[in-house]
Amino acid sequence: MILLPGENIKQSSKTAYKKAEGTLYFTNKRLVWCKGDEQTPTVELAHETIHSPRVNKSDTKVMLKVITIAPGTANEPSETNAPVFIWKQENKTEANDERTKFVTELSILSTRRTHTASSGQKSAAPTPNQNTTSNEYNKLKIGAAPASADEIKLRQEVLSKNGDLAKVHKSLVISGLVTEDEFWSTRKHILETYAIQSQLRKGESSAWLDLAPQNLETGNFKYTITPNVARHIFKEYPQVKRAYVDNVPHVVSEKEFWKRFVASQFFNRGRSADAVKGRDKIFDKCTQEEDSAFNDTKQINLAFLTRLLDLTRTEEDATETGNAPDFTMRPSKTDSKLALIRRFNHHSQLVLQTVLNSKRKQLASDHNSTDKMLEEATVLEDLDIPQPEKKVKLNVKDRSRYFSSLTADDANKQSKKCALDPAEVRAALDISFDISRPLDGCGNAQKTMSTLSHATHRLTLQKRPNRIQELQIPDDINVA
Amino acid sequence: MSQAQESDSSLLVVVLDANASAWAQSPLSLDKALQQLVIFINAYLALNPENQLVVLGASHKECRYLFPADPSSAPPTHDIQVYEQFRTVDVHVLSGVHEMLSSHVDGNTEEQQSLIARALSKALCHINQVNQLSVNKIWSRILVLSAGQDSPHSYIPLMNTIFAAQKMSVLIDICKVFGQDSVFLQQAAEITGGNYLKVDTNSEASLLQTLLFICLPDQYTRNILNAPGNDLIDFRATCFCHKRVVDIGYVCSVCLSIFCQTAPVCSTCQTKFSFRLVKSDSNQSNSTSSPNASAMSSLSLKP
Repeated sequence: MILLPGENIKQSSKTAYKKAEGTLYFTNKRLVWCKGDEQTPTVELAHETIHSPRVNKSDTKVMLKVITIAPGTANEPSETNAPVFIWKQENKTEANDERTKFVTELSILSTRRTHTASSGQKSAAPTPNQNTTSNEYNKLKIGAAPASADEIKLRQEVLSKNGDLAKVHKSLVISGLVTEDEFWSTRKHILETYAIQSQLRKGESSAWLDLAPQNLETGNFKYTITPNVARHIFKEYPQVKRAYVDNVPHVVSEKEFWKRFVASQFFNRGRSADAVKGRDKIFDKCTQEEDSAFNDTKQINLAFLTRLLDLTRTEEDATETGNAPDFTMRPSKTDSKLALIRRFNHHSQLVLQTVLNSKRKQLASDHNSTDKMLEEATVLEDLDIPQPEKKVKLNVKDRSRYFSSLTADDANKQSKKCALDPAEVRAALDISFDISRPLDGCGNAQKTMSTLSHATHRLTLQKRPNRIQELQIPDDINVA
Repeated sequence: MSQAQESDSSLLVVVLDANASAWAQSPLSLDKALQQLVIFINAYLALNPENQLVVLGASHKECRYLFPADPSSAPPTHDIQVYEQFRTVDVHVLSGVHEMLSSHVDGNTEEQQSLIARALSKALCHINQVNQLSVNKIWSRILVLSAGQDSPHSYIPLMNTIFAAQKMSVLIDICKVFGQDSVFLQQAAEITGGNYLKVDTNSEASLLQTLLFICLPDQYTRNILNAPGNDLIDFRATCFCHKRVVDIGYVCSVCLSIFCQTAPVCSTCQTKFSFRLVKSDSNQSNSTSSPNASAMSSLSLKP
C-alpha cells in the first residue's frame, strides 16, 4: 500500500469487505482497506471522518462496522457510509484479537473526537474553558480612542460570534457610511459584556460522584478511574487522599491502591446492604477517620457566625412545665445508612463552601467589619457623642447692605442737612385742636378725588377692560 | 378661608408714625394730619357698631398703645357737644401722641426711622388675640400712616410680619404722608393685598379724602370696589457697590450679594474669586465648604 508522507501503519489485518478479500490497515492518519494485493485503497477513511467502531456479538462471525460522519459537523453519524469488515480466519480467537486491536484504535479515536467536540461546543457557548485561546479582556478599557490592539481583537471576536452585528457592521462600516470608531462608540455595552464574559470561568462540577461499575461480558466489574475521577474522590474524601499520599507508590502501586479502594468496606458502605468485604488496613483507617469526623457534632465553626441568629429560640423543649425533652429528631446510632446520609450532608457542605469561601475571604480581609449585621443591630448612632461638624463660617461684614436699597442712598443724602432748631420742632409738633369744632380745611379734596379715580380707572381698564365698557360709565361721574 | 360677609365686623389697627423729626419737616403739619385722622377714625367707627379699633403710635424709640389706653389714666371729662364714643377715642389718641412727642428733645435729623416693624408685630399679636377670643369671624386690617424712613436693619423682622399678616389674611394699607417711597412698605401692601397710597402734601392733596376713599371699606366691600394700584413697585435688585438697579449682574456664590461689575474679592464675605467666567447657560454654584469660590455666576432678572 502506498503510504502518505509522514504516515506509518499501526495495525494491519486480513479482512474481507464486500465479499472480497483484502487487507485492512490502520495508520496514524486514516483507516484503509486494500483489495487483494492492490496498492490503491478501496476504502479510505480519514481519522476525522471516523465516528466509532461497532462490533457484533456473535462468535461465529467476527465483524467490525465503522460509523463515519462528515468531517466538521456535529455528532450525527451517517448510517449510509458505514463499511463493514469481516475477519474470516479459522481461529476465532485470533480473529477476535485482531478485531480487538482495531477496535481499540478506533475507540481511542472516537474518544478523542468526543473530547474535542465537547470542548469545541463549550467554547461556542458564552463561557469558554480555560484551555481555549480566548483573550483575557479584564484590564481592557473600552472606548479609549484610538482603539488599542486588544480592543481591535475584541471587536473582531464579537463580530465573528454575532452574525447580525457582522452584517450591520459590514453594511455600515465597510461601505464607508460610518467610521469604525463611531460604530463601536454606541455599542460599548456589547463589547463590555463580551469582555466580562471572557473572564468567566466554569466552576467545578458539584455532582455527586457515583462510581458505578461497568459490567463487562465476562461478569467482571470494571471501575474506570481516570485522573478526573481520582481528583473528585480526593476532594470528597480527604482521608483517601491522605492514604494515597502515604501509601503510593512505596507501599502499594497505584493500580493496587485503587483495586483495594474499590474492594474496601469503606467504599462499599452505603452502596449495598451487605458490607462484609473483609478488612483492609489502609481503608479501615479511612473508615475510622470518617466516622470520627462526621459523628463529632459538637464542634462548630466559630469563624463565620451570624450572631443575630439564635437557633435555640425555636426549641420546643420546655422542661419547666414538666414535659420530657423531645427525642424525635435524633440520629439513631445503629442505622446503617447513617454514614451515607452524613456523607451526603458533607458533600452539600463542600458544594456550598466553594461559593462561600470567596465571600469569606472578602470578609476576612476587611478586618473592620466582622459582622456588619450585628453592628447595625446593636450600635445606635443617636447615642454617640455628637461630634462637632467641621464647617466654614460665612463671614458677612455688613448685613445691612442686603437690605438697603435706592431709598437708603437718598436718605444718606438727606441726613447731611443741618440739624433743625429744637424750638422750631416743638412749634411744628404742637397739637392743639378742639375736637368738638369742625375741620378747618383738609387740602384740595376735589383734586385728590379726581387723581385717585383716574388712577383706579386706568388700572381697571388694564385688568378688566370689558367691564368698564359694558357698564358705560361716563367720564364726568366723579364730579361731586 | 371663608369669604367676607356684609355683616361681618372688622378690626382696624392704625399704626401712627409719630417720628418727630419727620413730622417737623412735613408740609402737612402734625396738627392738621391728626385732625383728619381723627375724623377718619370716627367715620370708621360709625360704619358698624361692632367695629373695633386699635391705635398704635410708633416713634423712633418706642411703640405704645394709644387706644385702648392704659386704664389707669384719668377718664376724659364730659363734653356734651361731642358724641361720647368718638370723644373717648379721640381724646386718648391725642393725649397719647402728645405724650410720645413731648419726650423727644433733640432735633436729630438722622433719626427719621420709626419702629414700624415693632408696631406691626404688636398689631398682629393683638389681632391674633382678638381672633382667639371672639366667637364670630372678625376681619382685620392694618393702616400705617408713615412719615419717616424705613430702617434697613429691621428688614428681616418687617418681612416676617408681612408674611405673617399674609397668612392671617390681614390687609395692610400704607398711607405715605411725607418722605420717599419706602420699598419695604410697598412690598407689604403688595403681598398682603392692601393699597400703598402716596399723599402728595406738597400739591395740596387731601389726606382725609384719600383715607375715606381707599382705606375705609372693609374686606367685603373691597371685593366689589376697584382700588388704585401702585404699579410702579420696583422689585429689581440693586447692586451692592453703587446701589444702582441691575437687570443682569454678578452674584457671589457664597453670600449671594449682587454686584454690577466684577471684583477680585467679594466685599461682603471676603471670598476670593478666580476668574473663570461662565457663559449664561451653565449654573455653577460651588459648595460652601471652603471660602474660595471658584466661579461667579451671572444673574439675570426680569424687570
